[in-house]
Amino acid sequence: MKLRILIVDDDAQILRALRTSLQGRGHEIRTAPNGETALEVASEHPIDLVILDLGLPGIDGQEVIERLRSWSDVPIIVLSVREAQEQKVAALDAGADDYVTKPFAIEELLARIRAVRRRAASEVERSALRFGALTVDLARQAVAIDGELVHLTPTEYRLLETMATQPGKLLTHAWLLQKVWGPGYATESHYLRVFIRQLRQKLGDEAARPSFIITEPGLGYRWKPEPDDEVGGGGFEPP
Amino acid sequence: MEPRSSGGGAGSRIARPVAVALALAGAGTGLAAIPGISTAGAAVIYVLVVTGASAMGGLRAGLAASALSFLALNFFFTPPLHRLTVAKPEDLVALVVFLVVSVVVGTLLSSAVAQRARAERREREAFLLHRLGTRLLSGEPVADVLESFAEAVTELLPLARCEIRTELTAEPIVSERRGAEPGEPESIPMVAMGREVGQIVLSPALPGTEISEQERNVVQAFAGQMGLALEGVRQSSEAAGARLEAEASRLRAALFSSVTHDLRTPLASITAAVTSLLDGDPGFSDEQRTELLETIRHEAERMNRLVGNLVDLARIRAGALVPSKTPAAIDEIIEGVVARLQPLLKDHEVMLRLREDLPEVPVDVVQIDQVLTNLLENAARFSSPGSPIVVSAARWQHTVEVQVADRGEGIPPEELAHVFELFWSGDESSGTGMGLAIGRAIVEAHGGKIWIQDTPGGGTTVVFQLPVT
Repeated sequence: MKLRILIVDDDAQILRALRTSLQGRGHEIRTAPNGETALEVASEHPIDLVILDLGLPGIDGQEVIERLRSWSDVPIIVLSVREAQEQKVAALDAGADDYVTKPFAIEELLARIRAVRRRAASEVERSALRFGALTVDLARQAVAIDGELVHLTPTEYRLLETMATQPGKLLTHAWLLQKVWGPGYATESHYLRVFIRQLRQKLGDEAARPSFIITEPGLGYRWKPEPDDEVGGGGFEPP
Repeated sequence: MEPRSSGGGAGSRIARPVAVALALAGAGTGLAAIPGISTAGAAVIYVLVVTGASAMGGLRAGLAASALSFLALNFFFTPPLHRLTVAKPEDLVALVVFLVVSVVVGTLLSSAVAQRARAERREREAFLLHRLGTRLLSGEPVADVLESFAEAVTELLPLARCEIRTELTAEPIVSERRGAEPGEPESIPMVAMGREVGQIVLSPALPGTEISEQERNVVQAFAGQMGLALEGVRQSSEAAGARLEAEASRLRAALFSSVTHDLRTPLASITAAVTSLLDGDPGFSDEQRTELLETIRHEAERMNRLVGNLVDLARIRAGALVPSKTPAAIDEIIEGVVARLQPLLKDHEVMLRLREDLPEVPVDVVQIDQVLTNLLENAARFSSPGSPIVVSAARWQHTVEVQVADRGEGIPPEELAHVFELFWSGDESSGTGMGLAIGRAIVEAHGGKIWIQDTPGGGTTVVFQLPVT
């Protein structure tokens, strides 16, 4: 999938590194050294994805997001630094889709790009998702590991499904709570912790070496694996 | 007391004794008038009046009471009654004897009382001075000591207002008696070694009056002592300032060399690995190539952790290490750090013992992440490959307590006191001693505590507690 990506950063070296890495993977790259140019480029050219550094000279990344969002819902991934947790949260609130903390490994950025594109492209309806040994049968609302059924409570299943259908994407506490428990639960993050722990236990996932659920402390969770491409029919045969 | 333009002090010095004498003489007369009491009995009662007046009102009251008693005895009890004449010669003798006795009693008694009061006051003054000196030298803030001293002087003399001006405090120290209208202020210099180090400005407790000779003497004695004590404080704080400056410049030098060293070391590995790969030498196996690339990656991550610490260090030094707290689950922060540090911890068996009932704690997630990163990095660095590292978290009273335990060689007891100091490092070759110092600064900025204890069976355990609310 070839994407038209706009990279906004005031550092020439990181622009060069990202341009080379992403062009090498077949994407079409435009760059902008500041927010003003970025908005100009985004209004004049069709763009599929914006990679935006938050610390820009002139109008800052936060404002770029706000202005972009006033007329476009192009996916935005922000580049942030470790210390700028609040800035990061503000960017997500303003409509950024995800973030990567500098310095980052390129595979991390690529995973984010896939995740936000998946959201942007209308998801193909699938009846089942397979993540290696784990199968999530969306039609039957059942989960199996190596063909062996995993017994989940309805809430656990809803949580798993919600996460597994958004692989790679940052799912904030508030968003997950609202999605799984419904409105009015947005602040009950201890519910979420309890259920995440139970899910991990049942999936045999270890928090310190996660294969499925990654913790983003203070922000939320990510479903780590991407689904295997070929999922035949109904996923697995019920025993 | 009413304001008077002048002479108020003199008025008061006469009015009060006379009032005391009048009151007691009146009471004595009433008592002696009880029917059945003889003239001799009445005389004894008047002796009591004089004694009482001397004790309560001093010499003037005693003399006034003597005179009043003499007149009353004559007027009410010696015939002819109600006249100031005496019929019988022996009554005259008795009256004169009474007068002499009462004057002598009054004089002696009042001087004894006054002497005792003076002694007590001297004792209080001496105590005050002694305490002042001790406190000034104890390192207590000078302003606090001077303030309580000013209060004590105001109380002791008493004064309406006492102000102490020195170069050691930015603002003058002022003590005021509530509701009192100050009289004429007077400034008494504090001198030490021929140099004026400050002034004590006194305002008497009566409006329109001046400081009395006696008050001036007392305060001058104080001023002399205080001048010496303040000069001592000034000199020792100058010396401390010089020491601090020396310490700070030593720290800066240590920071500089240590940061330079720590940034260059990974850069050296990176540069070596990258130039090897760029060299295009076809002799590398895939395995060797991967190893070089892994080196670059690990060293870059190491630099990133170092930069994280440098940012925190800069904040600490700028006094800007203010945690931006949000409720967060410590166990999740621990899990996140351990997951991120997998490459660094791969030679160790990391065991997490996180209680499931941990309450959320208001923390700066990034900062606590940094603390845990530093502790785990230390644990990995100072314990041998293959040994376990245990991270546990549990609720302890009103805190969440986190422990990072390794099975390394432990820290010798004599070094325990230094490990939280900046740039102390058990192993000279292995880089900065920033980790624990920054960890402590962050934990303390969260209102928590951090310390080190032995791991049972050998090794080092770093424990920190963060308050739940």
